[in-house]
Amino acid sequence: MNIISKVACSLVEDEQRNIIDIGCNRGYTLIEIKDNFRQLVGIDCSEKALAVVI
Amino acid sequence: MKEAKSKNIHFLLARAEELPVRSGTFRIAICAETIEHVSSEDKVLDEINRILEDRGKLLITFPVWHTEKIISFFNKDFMSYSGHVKSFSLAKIQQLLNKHCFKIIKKNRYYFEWALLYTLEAIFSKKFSGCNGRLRSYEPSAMPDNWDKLEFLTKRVIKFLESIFIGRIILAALNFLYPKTYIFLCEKEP
Repeated sequence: MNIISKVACSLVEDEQRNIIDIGCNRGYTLIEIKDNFRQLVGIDCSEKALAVVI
Repeated sequence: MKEAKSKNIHFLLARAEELPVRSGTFRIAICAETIEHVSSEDKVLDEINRILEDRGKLLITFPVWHTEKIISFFNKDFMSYSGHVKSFSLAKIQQLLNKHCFKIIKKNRYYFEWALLYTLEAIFSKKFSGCNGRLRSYEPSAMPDNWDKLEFLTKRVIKFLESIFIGRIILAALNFLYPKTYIFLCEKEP
């Protein structure tokens, strides 16, 4: 896990567990932490980057 | 909204300055390797503040100003080919986060290895013609081999350093002196 993923997972406190990644690129971080959160949203302005993960 | 291969992840095509998300809906926001690419960091931070709950957490990164200056010294085109619109000093970052009501809980410096790689790229790319100032590219035709070798070698050295006690001390010092990224953990003030 990269540093960002590790810190994000350490912030999980309760059942709410939602997270947004602004500038998610190809969703690397979200994919890495998906099991630790209930709902994850990734936002990016590059259609090309998002096309890889959708 | 488009769904990823994993069912709990959703992806949206949007600009960071206009997030298509309801206010106060998120507990945690990540904004990594992004703010240096936008023209209005104030708008982005306003938007992040809007979508976070009170006392929500923001995990944000900024490229290190002095590292970018050194890389730019070796390759004047660094800022343009990296797509970075601007650099931020530590004082400016802290001022910016405070202005947008984010209390800094923790800050750190990371990714010496990437700072080193970008610096080597800036130095050595001049030796190769036709690679547009870069050793690596998202285009398969543009000399990916050189970058791959450099990256492989750097990662091997870092892995070795991480495996020994003295190596970890050296790495901590290098991360302090020549980091690529500042990472801030902040809390939205109500």
